[in-house]
Amino acid sequence: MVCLGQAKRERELSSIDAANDPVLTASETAKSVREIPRNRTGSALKKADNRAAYMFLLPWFAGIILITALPMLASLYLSFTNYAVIGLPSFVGFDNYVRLFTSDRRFITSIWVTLKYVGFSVPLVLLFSLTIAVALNRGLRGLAIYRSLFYVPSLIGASVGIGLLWKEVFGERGVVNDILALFGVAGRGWINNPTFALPSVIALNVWTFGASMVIFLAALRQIPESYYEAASIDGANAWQRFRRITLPLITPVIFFNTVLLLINSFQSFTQAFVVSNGRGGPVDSTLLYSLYLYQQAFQQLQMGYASAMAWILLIAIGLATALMFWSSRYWVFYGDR
Amino acid sequence: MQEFRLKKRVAGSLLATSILALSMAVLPNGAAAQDSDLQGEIRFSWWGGQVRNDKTDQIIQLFEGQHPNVSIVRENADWAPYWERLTIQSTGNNQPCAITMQTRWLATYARPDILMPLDELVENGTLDVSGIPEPVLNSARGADGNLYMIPHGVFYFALMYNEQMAQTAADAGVAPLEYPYTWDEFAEYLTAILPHLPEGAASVHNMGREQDAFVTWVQSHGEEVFDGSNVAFTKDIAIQWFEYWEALRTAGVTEPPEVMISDNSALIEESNIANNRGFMTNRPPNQLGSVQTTVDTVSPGTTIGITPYPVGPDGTVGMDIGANGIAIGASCDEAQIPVAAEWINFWTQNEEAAGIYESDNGVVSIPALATAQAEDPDTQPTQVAHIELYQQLIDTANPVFWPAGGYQALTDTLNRAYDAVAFGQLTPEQGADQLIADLQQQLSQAAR
Amino acid sequence: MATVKTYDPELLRAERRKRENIRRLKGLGLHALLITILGVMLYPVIWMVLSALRPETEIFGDMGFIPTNWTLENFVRGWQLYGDLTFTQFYVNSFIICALAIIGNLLACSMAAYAFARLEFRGKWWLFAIMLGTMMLPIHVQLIPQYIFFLNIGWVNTILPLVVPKFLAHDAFFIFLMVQFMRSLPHELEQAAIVDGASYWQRYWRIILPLSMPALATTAVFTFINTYNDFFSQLIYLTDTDRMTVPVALRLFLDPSGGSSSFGGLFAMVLVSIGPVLGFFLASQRLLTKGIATQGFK
Repeated sequence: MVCLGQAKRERELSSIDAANDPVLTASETAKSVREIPRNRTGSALKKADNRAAYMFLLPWFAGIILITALPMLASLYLSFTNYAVIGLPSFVGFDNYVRLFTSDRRFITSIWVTLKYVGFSVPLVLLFSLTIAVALNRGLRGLAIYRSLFYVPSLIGASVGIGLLWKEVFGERGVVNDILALFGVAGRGWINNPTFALPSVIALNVWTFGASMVIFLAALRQIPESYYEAASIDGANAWQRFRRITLPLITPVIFFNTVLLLINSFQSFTQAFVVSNGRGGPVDSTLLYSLYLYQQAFQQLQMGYASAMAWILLIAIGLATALMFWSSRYWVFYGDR
Repeated sequence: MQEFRLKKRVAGSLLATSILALSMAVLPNGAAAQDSDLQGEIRFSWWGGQVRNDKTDQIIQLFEGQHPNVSIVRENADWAPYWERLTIQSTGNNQPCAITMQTRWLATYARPDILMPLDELVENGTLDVSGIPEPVLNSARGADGNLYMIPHGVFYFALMYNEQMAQTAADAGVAPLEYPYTWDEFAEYLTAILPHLPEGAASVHNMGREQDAFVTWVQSHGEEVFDGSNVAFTKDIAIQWFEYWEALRTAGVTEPPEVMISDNSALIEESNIANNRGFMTNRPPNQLGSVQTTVDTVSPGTTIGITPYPVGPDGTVGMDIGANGIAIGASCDEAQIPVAAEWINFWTQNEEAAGIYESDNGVVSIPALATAQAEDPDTQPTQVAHIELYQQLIDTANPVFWPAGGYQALTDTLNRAYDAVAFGQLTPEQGADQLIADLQQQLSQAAR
Repeated sequence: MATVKTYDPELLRAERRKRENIRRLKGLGLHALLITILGVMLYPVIWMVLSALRPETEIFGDMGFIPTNWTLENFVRGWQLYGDLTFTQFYVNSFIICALAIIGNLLACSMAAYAFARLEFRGKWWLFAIMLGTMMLPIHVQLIPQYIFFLNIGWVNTILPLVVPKFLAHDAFFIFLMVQFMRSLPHELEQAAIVDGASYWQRYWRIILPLSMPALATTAVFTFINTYNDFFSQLIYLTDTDRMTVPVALRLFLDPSGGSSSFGGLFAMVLVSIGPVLGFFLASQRLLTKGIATQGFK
């Protein structure tokens, strides 16, 4: 991530007391070290910076404490209790956590389902969005129209009518079957079949790749034409140009998109909820983690149990993200390093 | 604390005398006078779609017209989030004053810190329960014996079928069903009728996953579904249930599993029965009006009839009944209680209101009003059928006492268990094991 | 031995023409491919549009794909939910909430982003990590404690629980987004301002913020979309029927518990409800792509 590296560097540099350091008085690191205003010394500047920063962060602080931290801590506490929403919580220690991993069949199912979901969704979304973005980047006529049209599914993907729509499309009498019939393949009720329900939901998620595509497109448009021209002159073909110029230059965007997609798809809820009527699909085949969590919290009224699930998810997402960040060192290419 | 056990059967004579007494007590009293004494504002919550919301709105306006200093704040939601929202509100002691409640969900909320016990208000006359049959009133009691809601509509369970298809089959020699019929006779009939149905149609919707049908099965075989917060039916009865439906499914009498699932949650417009793709299905009879209206447009000329569930081998009726009513929230202010009570009385007793509502959420619980509706020439014929079958069956009904979270749990676990069986992932025996284990676990959790 | 290439002008021209044609064909082919993909992707949407325009009863019938009876009745009936309530009220409610949410996010998130991006302070590292972390906790579990908190301060059944968090920079994603953007802005401008004696606030308000327009536009669009579609929070915090918002109202079309539902009305209203979102998006097209483009991903 960009800010990690830069922030670290800036921190290192700013800890050097520029005014008193003889070596740096004539330094050319003007870009990273600010010019010192005539009326302030280094440490006073830092203090002023501190104060100002805290002022700017005041709303965020207030929000964190009141709206985020308190509920987060409350939910952490609740994860160690039995809390049926109606009534008072009662402390049970690690009971919930133990029960989740040892005697909850559906919990394990939900983990598998979510892993499958994430494992297919994220690469597919990246693939589609990048491919279409590359295709659209050729300076086609009507680029704006194409971009908007591809984005439409993202706009309605979270809407109420979508589940219905999807059920119609993938249902027994849906258009998918109609198209298959054209090819002589027998259709079936995809969305209500345990084997095909999850792929249908994944398809719904991938259908909304427009958002990622827009981001990729913007990044692609930033790559100067001159790079490509130079490469063409050197005899590179399209694939080589893509692989050696485009791809490395957009690794930061790929990284950004991947991290976001990961965080979001681990928590994915709405689509599976709408498509399976909140049940988790035929025989738990679409029981995403968040869906199971929701069922425990609001249908079974096991708030403590659900809180434990939430914290496990938090840790899992945190680990996955940390892993991504660590790996970024090896494959993300920032032009300024 | 003593478990309050419900009377399981309504004595026919009790019903008869009630009707007699009521037809004298509940007489139309002309245009209601305006009452300016009652004042205040209360929140009233209910669930429903457009049609019901319209009717409710009309009734509210009628009430506000008669009580100009009263205003009712409308809070409605569709069925699914209704209970979730009520739960969340109750946690914060923010539930409305007048809450539409149902017997199958009552156990979760039937406690004095959520709903106000109403016995006192009944005794001192604030709440008017005249005319409500005793068993119906008792079904609105919690496990602690307190009355928690005033039931205004009784719902029961039956099967809907396509009358034209039945006629075609009868003409071709298939002997029609005569109530009472056992489950086996039922299966035989459905199998016999299959060849006479349109191409691709199924005789009956696969009810293996339907909790209402399952309850009827269990009770008609003499067993109980719940004993307090414990599963009370045997593994054998569950296995037989699964095997019953598996036999029908593999013989092609029911639709394939995927269609079974989609039809279960299908809206009327998409359902098999409305589109001539199925002969019989289980739907609450109070939906008959909506179904018929849809069928009239989608497949004109078709009429839908209702018929009771089969009875057990020895003739035991297993049908459950339930009631919808209005409860008063525990957080309701002293000053607002009279308003809430008057509102409940209005809803339950007022003829005009009942006329508007037309048993939309269950047959109106006061038999006299029900009979009046049935005999009123303006009432839709479907509602008449709905009411008349109710009056036929009410004596023999077998209400289930649903424990906290029971309905939710049974629906959830039965769906999962039978779906697994239907898709071949579990044998009927394994399915029964899973059903009972999962169900017991959820019940125990909810009871803690 | 070297061979001498002869350049025959005729041959060259023919070559060039051939290459032009191939390129044109490739372009056409690309268009064709894109249109096919679009067609498949947008088929469900097209179906929904056509369903909204045909009489209710024909939607699930076995009629052809193109409706024979065009009608606008679904829109008319759908707009009128019941009684005196029409979707006008719901749209107004939704828009008010969205507008306030956008303002809140723009202000609070940009302030926090400015601090993270341009200022040095103790604990910056930790706070940044915490900010990222808040994006990862599932909302369903924050819900109950938050509800109880809002209840105790009397905010339930108002729009405050939906709007005030935006003014407190609750949406960490947008802080993250703006930080990325602000980091890429050159420092020289601010340095010049510092030399001139500008205060922190002035630097933020007059320099950084105007330059961050694209990021702000991005934030505005996504805030609008997310707030507009946020069903569950609006359901539990806005209980009065006349305070309902569009997504909650749309659900009312789908009541399986007794009445019949109104598919035609549902589709019509879903389409209408997408209108604002699409409009917003289109209107900010240029700002949007410029915003994401200059995020400093280099």
